[in-house]
Amino acid sequence: MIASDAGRTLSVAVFIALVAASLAITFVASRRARGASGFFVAGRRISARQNGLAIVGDLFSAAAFLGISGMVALNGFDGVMYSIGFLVALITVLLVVAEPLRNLGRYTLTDVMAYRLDRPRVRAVAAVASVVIILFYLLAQMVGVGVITSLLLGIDQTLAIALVGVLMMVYVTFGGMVATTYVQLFKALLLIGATVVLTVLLLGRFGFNYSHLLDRAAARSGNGDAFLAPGLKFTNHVDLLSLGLGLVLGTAGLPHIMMRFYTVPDAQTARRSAVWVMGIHGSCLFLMTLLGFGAAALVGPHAIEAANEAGNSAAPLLAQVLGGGATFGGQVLFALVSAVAFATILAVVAGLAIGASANISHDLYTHVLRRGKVNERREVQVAKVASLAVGLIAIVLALAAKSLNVAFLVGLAFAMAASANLPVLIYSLHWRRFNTAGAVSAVVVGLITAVGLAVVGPSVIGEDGIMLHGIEPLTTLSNPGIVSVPAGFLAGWLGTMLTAREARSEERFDQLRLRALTGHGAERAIEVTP
Amino acid sequence: MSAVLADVVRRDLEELARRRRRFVVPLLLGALSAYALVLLAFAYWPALVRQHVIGAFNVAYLLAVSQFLMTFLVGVVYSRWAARVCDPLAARIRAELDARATEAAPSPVTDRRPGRLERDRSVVAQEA
Repeated sequence: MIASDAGRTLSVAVFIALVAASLAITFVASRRARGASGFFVAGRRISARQNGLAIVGDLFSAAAFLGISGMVALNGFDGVMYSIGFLVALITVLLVVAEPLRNLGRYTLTDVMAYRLDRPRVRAVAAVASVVIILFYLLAQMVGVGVITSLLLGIDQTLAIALVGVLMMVYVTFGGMVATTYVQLFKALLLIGATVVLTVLLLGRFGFNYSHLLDRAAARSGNGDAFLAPGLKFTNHVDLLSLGLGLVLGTAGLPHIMMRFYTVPDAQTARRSAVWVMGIHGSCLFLMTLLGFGAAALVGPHAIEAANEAGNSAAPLLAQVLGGGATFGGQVLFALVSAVAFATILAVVAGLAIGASANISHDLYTHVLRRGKVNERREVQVAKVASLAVGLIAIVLALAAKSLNVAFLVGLAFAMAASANLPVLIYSLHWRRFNTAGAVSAVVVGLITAVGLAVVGPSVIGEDGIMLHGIEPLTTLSNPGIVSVPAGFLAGWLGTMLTAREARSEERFDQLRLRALTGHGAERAIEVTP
Repeated sequence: MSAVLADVVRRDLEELARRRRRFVVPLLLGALSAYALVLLAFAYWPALVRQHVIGAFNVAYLLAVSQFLMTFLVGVVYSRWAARVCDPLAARIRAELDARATEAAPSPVTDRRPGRLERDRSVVAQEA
């Protein structure tokens, strides 16, 4: 807890107002989320700009908002590395996944594979993989919630985690994708507003001379010039490249991001929303690094580290200084930024929960368990129950794993998405010979390699890990991407080449390509306006 | 290719696929290679990236900024290209297929609704 009592009361008040606003949004949205398509993909009527903003909302997790500024404030230039990775990843999203996904899918990534491959098998494997990836990502957010709320709002960690879990279930079960989208929009606008205001105030302190700000940050960091160059945090070069690879390919494979492309009317809108994401997310990522350097210059690494070792409090502390320190202005800004951080996490977990519930209900229940013999009402009911279950599991896991490192969990989720989902998606779209065995092996090998390597790596076992402190980690990599991504692609290729050709898959490939490239036969937006 | 697709549609589709391949693959690989080179420079040429260029800005910082500019540029270049080259071609193919579907069956209302023919048979749930 780093604020005074008055500041804390203010933070809690702002936070309650924010939760009330998001619940009001959910209530309004709940009357518009009709039918399965309304529940899962908001009737496919979201505009490019709205969807762009909502994707920014999904992408700006706690790790991005508090993590990047904190990492820059403590490690200087190496923190910028995450920003670059998150940003360049959007090129893969735009060029590889956005349009074909919109044209081919119904609610989930698995739909794309099921279009040409042996449906029940490939659906089961891919849906389980997606749920696992989402759970890791969700776990990272929930652990982050505990850390951040106890730090910023003075709420007990356990209570905070339970509260976020319950709110998430409320958003998703009552409002479906419509409510989730509006909560994302609300949060994205708050986040952009807060970032811009802080940046203007910060640069004002330095006469709008950014170079001067960087000099001050370097001087105060105690590292001098080295603070502005790479190398302070990432000393293992292969690990750095591995992290970069995972980040840059992972975004395109994250199930809840992919799902957002089904919420727009057509492929052109999907493309335009991806370009919106680049503009908005890119600018915010850039400003976030600037705030990090600002925190190093104005708050100083000692005060930041004293509040939280990982630096998660850098942005709120900077806000306090910019508002005038211990004055009322300082407390107001601190309260606002803390509340925005909380809103950020809430929106992200809602997006994740609806992604997982679509995988469980649409893929596992409707298509694998019941072989498609399910009506729409039932599919939505199961999805709601699934999102309650996902919420409960996330609460329990987060309470059990409070000590895990948030950045590590997020990095791992990205690496899993890049290794398990991306190879299958690319092969399905572009390789005629690709078959079911290839898809199953790519998903299984990609996922297991990513998790396996992370488990035997230095983030989990050994001196700096969470268990078995006495023994050496089996690998020096904390980020598995550099091995697991090629492993996923290779397994997909080998699995296909070592098994018999699949006539149906090759036959349907032309249909798939026609639909992916032209949108002929794609799912349409619901035309009725409520 | 199934019998549904006439030669003229197939030709347009091949053309569309070929154009996308020739434009998107180099663009994607080029951008990802540039990113990889920047990471390699950070990791293996520390002396170079520490050189100051203007004020407090060193080579590393300018390389980071270059990645932001590159991403924005790829976004603009690709979306303008796709709107100019792909969208008209895709629209032509769709129109051709719709016209054929209308000829084949006298009920244009159902047939114009894309997706009826190819919709996954196993999907029972219909949109409201």
